[in-house]
This record gives sequence, C-alpha cells and structure tokens, in this order.
Amino acid sequence: MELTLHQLTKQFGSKTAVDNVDVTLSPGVYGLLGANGAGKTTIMRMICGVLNPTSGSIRINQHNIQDVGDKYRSGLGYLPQDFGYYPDFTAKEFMYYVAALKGLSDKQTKYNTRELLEAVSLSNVANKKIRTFSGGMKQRLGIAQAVINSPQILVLDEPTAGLDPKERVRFRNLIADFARDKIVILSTHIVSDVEYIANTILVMKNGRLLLRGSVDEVICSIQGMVWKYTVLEKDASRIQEQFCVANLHHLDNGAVELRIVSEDMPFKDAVNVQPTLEDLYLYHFQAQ
Amino acid sequence: MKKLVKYELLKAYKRKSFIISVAFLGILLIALNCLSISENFWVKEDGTTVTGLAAIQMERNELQSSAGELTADKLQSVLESYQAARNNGENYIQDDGSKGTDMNNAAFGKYEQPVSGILNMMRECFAPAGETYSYYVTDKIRPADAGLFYESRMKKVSEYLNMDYSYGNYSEADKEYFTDKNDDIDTPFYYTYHTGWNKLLASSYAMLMAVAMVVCICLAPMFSSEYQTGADAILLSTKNGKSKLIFAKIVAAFILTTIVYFIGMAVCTITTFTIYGFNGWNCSLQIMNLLAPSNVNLLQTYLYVLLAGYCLCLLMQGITLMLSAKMTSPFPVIVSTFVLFFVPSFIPYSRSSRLFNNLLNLLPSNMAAAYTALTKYEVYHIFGLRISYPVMLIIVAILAAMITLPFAYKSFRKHQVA
Repeated sequence: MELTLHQLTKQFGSKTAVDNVDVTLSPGVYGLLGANGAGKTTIMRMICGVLNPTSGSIRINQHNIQDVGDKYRSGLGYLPQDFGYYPDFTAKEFMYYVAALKGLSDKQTKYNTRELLEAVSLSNVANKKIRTFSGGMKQRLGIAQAVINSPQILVLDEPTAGLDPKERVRFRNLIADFARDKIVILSTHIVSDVEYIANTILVMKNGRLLLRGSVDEVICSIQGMVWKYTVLEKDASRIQEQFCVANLHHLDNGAVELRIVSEDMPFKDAVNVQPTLEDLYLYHFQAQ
Repeated sequence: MKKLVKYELLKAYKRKSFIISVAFLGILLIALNCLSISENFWVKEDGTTVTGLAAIQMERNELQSSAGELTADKLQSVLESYQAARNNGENYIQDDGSKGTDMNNAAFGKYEQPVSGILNMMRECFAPAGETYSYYVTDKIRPADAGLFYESRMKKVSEYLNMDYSYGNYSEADKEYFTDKNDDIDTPFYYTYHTGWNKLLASSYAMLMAVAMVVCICLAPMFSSEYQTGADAILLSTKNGKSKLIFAKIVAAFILTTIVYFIGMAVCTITTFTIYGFNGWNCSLQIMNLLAPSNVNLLQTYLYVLLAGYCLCLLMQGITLMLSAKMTSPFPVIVSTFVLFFVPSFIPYSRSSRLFNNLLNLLPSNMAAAYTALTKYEVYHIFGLRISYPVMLIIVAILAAMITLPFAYKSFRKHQVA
C-alpha cells in the first residue's frame, strides 16, 4: 500500500495553507510536526477526503482517492482536531453509529465496540451519555471511533490533546500495536509522543514539507547546533532573549544550566551536546 | 441504511429544539381548541343564553333533529315558519314590554336560530344581483320561490363568472368549465349539524402553518448541526458518509415530517371532534361556501386539506433540508425558512394580472389555505392542459419538494471541512 501526495496545494483565498507537498507514504507511523498554521490539519483533511486540494492529487496505490471514493474511505480512520460528538448519545450508541457509517456488520460492530471501549478504558461508562464525559474521555472515545473499522490508513489530528501522561502512554501502546502494516499519520504538539512511536517524522513549516526522515535522520539536520552552557542566574534571562534556549535547569550552587540551539557556538565555554527532536522543533518554530 | 436512519431519528428526537417545538405545538393546538369553546353560545326558547359546552350540546341536539336534504319543500317550510315568526308582532315585544325592531331573544331562539344556517344560505343565494349577502331578502321572497334555490345559485355562479375583473376576465372556455363543474354538484345539498367540521376547516390554515413551522424547526439541524459541532469531518470521511448517510438523513426527515404532521393534525382533529362531535361529515361543501365549485362533502374537503397540508410540509421539508445542507448552523436555517414562508403572505394580490395572482396562490403560505382552494374559481393552463387550483397546489408542492432534495444531497456531499 502506498499513499502519495503529489504536488499537493491548498489555498484559502490568497493564503497558501499547503504548498506543493510531494511525499509518498508506505505502512508505518508518521509524526507530523509543525507549529500552528503550518498546514498539518489541512493536509490531514485532504488525506481524509473532507477537503479538496486546490491543485495536485492524493493517490492510493496510484489511483486518485476521489476516484476510489467509498472504497478508499472504507479503509480510513480519522480523528479530527475538534472532535464533533453527540452529547445525548451514549458512548456505545456513538460507536454503533460510527460503525454503521463505516458499513460494519452487526457482529463486527458489537465485538469491536466492546474491545475498543475496553482498550480506551471506557467500558464502564459505555452506557453513559457523552455530555457527562471529561475532555480526556471524549478524546479516548474519538480514538476508539477512528479505529473501529481497523483502517488501513489512520489519521489522528492532535490525538493526545486532553490526555493525562498515563493515558498518553496507553495511547502510544495502542497505536504501536495497531500500526502494523498500516499507515498511521499523527500530528501533535507533544514532541515526545511522536518521538516514541513514529518511524518517520514529517516537519512542516508555512505549508511546505521541511524535513522528512526517521527521528535520528531529522535530528541529524541540527547535529552540532545544540549547546550546554552554565551561567549565573542573573545572566540567564539576557541569554534567553539572545538565543533559542531549549531548556533551563537551576543547579544547587545558584547557577543555571542552559540548553541552547544555535548554529554557531554561542559562548566560548559552551559544550556541544547530542540534539533531540524537541531541539529540532524549537530550532524551526521558535519564532512561531 | 436502516441503522443509519435509526440513528438519525435518535439524534433528531434527542435534540432540545425538537422536544420543545413538538410540545409547544401540542399545547398550542389543544389550547386553541379549548379556548374556542368559550366563544359558543345558544339562545334557549325561553330567551336565556347558555355558553360553552352546554351551548355546543344544545346546538347539536337541535340541528341534528332537523337534519336532511335541502329540498324545495324543506326550504319552503323553513321560509314559511321564519316569515310567520317575523310577521308575528308578539315576537318583537322585548323583556321590558317595549316593541323593538328585531325579534326578541325567545323568538330568535325558537324560530331563527335553529334554521339560521339555512336562512343564511338563502340570504346569499337570493341576494340582489351584484350583492353577495342580503339579510332582509328572506323577508321578501315568496316561500313558493324557495324551490328556485338551486337555479338561483347557478345564476350567482354565472354572475360571478361574467363580472368585469381589472386583473382579467374569465375566458369563455373557463366559464364553461366552471359552469360544468357546478352542474356536476349533487343536489339537493345535505344539511345537518356540522360545527366540528366548520371549526376544523376554519382553523386549518393556522394549524397547517403551525405544523409546517415545527417541521422546519425540527429539520433545520439535520445537516447544519453536523457542521456546527464539527461532526462533519468524521461523517464525510467514512465509507457511507457521502452516500447512504445523506439518503438516511432524507429518509429520517421524511419520517419525522410525516410523524409530526399526522400526530399534530390528529391531536387537533380529535380534540375538535371530542368537543363538537363528528356529525356533518356528509354535508355538501356548499353549505359552508355556497358558490364553491367542487362536488365534495365536508369529509372529502378535510381529507383534501390533510393531503395538501402534508404536501406543504414535504415542500417545507425540502426547503429546510436544502438550506440546512448549505448553512453552518440551524438558527439561520430556521430564520430563512420562516422568511420564505411568511414574507410572501404579505405580497398583495395584483389588480392588473391574473397570472401574478395565480402564481401567488401557489406560494407556501397560500398553500396552507388549502380549504379555500376548493372554493376558488381558479384554473391553470399548462401545455394546453387545464389544471384546477386544488390539483395544481398538490402538483407544485410535490415537484418543489422533489426538486429541493437533490440540492440538499449535493450540498452535503460536496461540503468542505475547512
């Protein structure tokens, strides 16, 4: 299976949200990184067929997804950023409704609903109305509905928003189990989420695809640009204004250890350290 | 598909707007009927007046006892009794002993009130040329001439068809068409107590307007709330989201419209008949509207109103769904449908164009006046065919309802989540 975005462009009036993106996705987990307005949500909507590109195309195994139509969508799972739910439906009713939309049989619907509500720890509230759910519970229900049809392509827009650390770990494990032989595309602001589970990182900026590669490969692009430097507490804020500071750690002796992302050595005594994905994110999106 | 329809219905009936508007409709229909009870009065033979349910019961007993066909003998007998009472000076002596110009209450209750419906028909029928009603004509005509009632009615029809209208006169062919229709009306007319049917038909305009509005409120969120809540992104990305789901929504809307309409009308009808009784279903429409050109009884008239009202609701359903698929929240959908529904009712009839008036008659607000469609002398000429107004109303409503649905389908299918 191959999902190809070919010269994909989306314009809203004079604003170009997605600019000539070319990428081919094969089974694996793809982490879409980018600041707000980078074009992540727009690209995901186009992949899900709910937004038409201005130009370019999205192809599944060389066929335009608009031509494949229902068949393409039957293998699709989508969790939008602002997940629209029906407050007077119970969790079970909502899952059954989505299953009907996805054309699942009664047997599959019942089995998958039971299994997935269990997997996202909602089985004990399956018959409760969604209006009584917390933000995290709604998000977990959203994740469950996205995978109810065991989709070949799973698109998750900010899936970890509203989840506590424990729930995020559960989510990562769920996706890791689910992702075999499937294309999973997820966007998040929480870099560690994609760092752990994504095989490939796609970095977007101003509608363009900036970087593409494994975590190590994309991190390589800032190799030699991350520095550790210890200063007195009183000087820390001045340096923060001057450089991109990824981390600030107060030491016991009153000094502060700064993690600086800079192409040039910021200070004579600064020590070059191994970059992380978070450093990369800050390097590209600090201004945004 | 069945499952999707079930969930669409579930979504609809769980909405607060649905619950509130349906409850409001039920209360309104019952309240209107109950309030009308107090308007009824009946003057007893001793001159005292009763009101409310007692008046309804007395009127019913009195009129039912004199039920029958309005034959020449019957009309003559009614007129003879009435004129005898009118000519008896004792009937003019009021309670205080003075002599008045009108009959006293007791005489009115005894001689005029039981036959006032029949007398009023004669006052219309025998009114001088150019007049539609003359109260005192029943004092002047000879009882023997009462038998000319049906001939006189046809003269009135002819008079109406041959009048000069600023917006255009009837063609000879149309005159002949309406004359033939009147010739086909069964005579003599059957007359009995029929207040229940009278009330039902008189209030049908308000009832249909209310039900049509509730249909609009219930259906406005069908597509638009999906955009408003953001559920559209999930729906449109699913296998059935751009096909079966839209059909399911349309089917669910049809089921909702049907249920709301027939339950609403049933509540109103049952309440009216409970209060006023079912009697009079077999009376001719002409006992309520003397010159009506349709050969139907009151039951058939009401069945036509029910059918036309249902078609009107289907039309409003189509318009609401079309707007709902275009707009991003239910509120502007409701406002737009109300504007489309009510504003045309303020457009005045033309003094110069019959065509304009005929088109105006086909707008939704005028469709609600389905009862009057059976009483009007209007006809439509389309591709050489002559189509009567009552039939035209149904055709236009069904066609318009069908034309709007593909627009709703396409709008949702092509909706972009941006």
